[in-house]
Amino acid sequence: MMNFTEETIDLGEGVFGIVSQPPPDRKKKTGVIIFNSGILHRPGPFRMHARLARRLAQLGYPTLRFDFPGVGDSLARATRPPMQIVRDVLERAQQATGCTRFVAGGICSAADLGWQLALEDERVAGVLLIDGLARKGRYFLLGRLRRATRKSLGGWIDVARRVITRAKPPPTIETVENLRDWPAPGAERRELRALLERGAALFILFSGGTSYFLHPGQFYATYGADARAPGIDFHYWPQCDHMMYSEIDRAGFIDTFAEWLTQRFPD
Amino acid sequence: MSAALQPLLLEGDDRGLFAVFHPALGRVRAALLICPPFLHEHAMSYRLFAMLGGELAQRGIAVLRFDYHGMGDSAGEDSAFSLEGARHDARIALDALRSRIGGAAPIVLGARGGAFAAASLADAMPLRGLWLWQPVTDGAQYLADLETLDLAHRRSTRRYPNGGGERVAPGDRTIVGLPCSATLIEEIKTARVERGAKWPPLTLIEPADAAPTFPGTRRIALANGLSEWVTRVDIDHFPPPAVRDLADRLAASPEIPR
Repeated sequence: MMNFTEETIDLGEGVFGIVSQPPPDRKKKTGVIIFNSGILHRPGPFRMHARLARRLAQLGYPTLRFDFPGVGDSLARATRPPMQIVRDVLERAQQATGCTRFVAGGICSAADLGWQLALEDERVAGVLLIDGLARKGRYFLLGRLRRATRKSLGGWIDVARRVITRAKPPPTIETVENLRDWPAPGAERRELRALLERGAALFILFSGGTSYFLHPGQFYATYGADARAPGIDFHYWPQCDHMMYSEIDRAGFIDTFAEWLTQRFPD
Repeated sequence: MSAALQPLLLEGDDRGLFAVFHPALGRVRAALLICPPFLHEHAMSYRLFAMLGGELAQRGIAVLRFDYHGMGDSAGEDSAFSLEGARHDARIALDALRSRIGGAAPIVLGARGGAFAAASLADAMPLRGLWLWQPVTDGAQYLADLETLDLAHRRSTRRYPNGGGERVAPGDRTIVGLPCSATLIEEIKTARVERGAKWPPLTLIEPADAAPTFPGTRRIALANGLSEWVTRVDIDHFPPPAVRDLADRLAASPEIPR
């Protein structure tokens, strides 16, 4: 039985969004905004965003998904920085849903955008960060060592070849951290403290499919003591790839995030 | 500059279809329904057909694109997608297009597996033209190719450096990452596209170096960058000049009035 509806809303400049709406009598004050994963359009990787939006709407949370300019149905390329666009999207989401606070974010660069929006707008009370910012450091090296011990003979031959030729290892397929808009090292601790001090809640998940996050210790080393604050829910899924190719991972993420949302934002 | 595209939620048989209409700029020369590919190819090609729809609209061709039930933004679980359902959805979408452009017979484009839905329309009703884009004509071979691709991704140490890609929940069946029903598997295995006696003028849109799917048929060669998405699972970029050039050639098709 479907207990949600969907409607399209105009977000201006040739961009529209789809809002999954709960029945009016079950609507909560918290809405959710899911950003594109790179250039993958609105329904998300293997349709995960569409499914997530519908699940959350069934739980009472209006949820918006849309295409950034230059992605999917938003034919024109962006003429403004992403942050200016998401500020306007937040306004329209509030008008369309009546919600006064939001959880925003997504995978990869969408996580970065959710974080930045939360830093400048207190209506963003929660952030969804999948494969967000993490620094490398000693735990990264430990992770590499751990991977190395599991390598096959063929893998070792590749490593030896790279060492001899000083070639760089191939990046994992989807994420290359130098494409990300991350602040200078150290800024993330100040930013996290600011978010926690105003009561924001963070759902943080790292997959095993990035080139830069190989060990859960990187998360604690990156964010310091605040990484263990009560406002943070941290997950590391080493067997999950960056785009959640496996249905087990997608279903697991949707369940886990929905549970987090209902606990953190019961109204 | 084209008129703004219109997102639509199509009413019809509780299928909950999401569609996008690109109104033609100026005089309507023709109307085109795009039956998209399915499974991972649906997402892979979405941007390409959005761009093409926009370009054709600027050339006087009204375009309607839609997501099948169980795909994209349409209603339905992933596993609810079926070929029979896709054929049904194509009829709903065609009616929606007709209601917007009047009585003229539309052209139907079937891309990859969308050829199954497009061919069923061409078999059943008068169309102005049928355009098949790298069509899948042999379902059994297509399924075998998808299974090979799926296995390669599940076993990829680049996608899964820590292993884990071969995990599947008990009782689940997925292909290229997407859950699918036993019904769909059986449908694809037995599906074939064969040239119908009632088909309107046929145009193939295929890479120049590919063997023609239907020999002796008008063919438009795909430029580099517009055909490779069929062998990938991850997202791609489509060169705008190549899309514009393709739109020029499609808009110059003999079945479209000047």
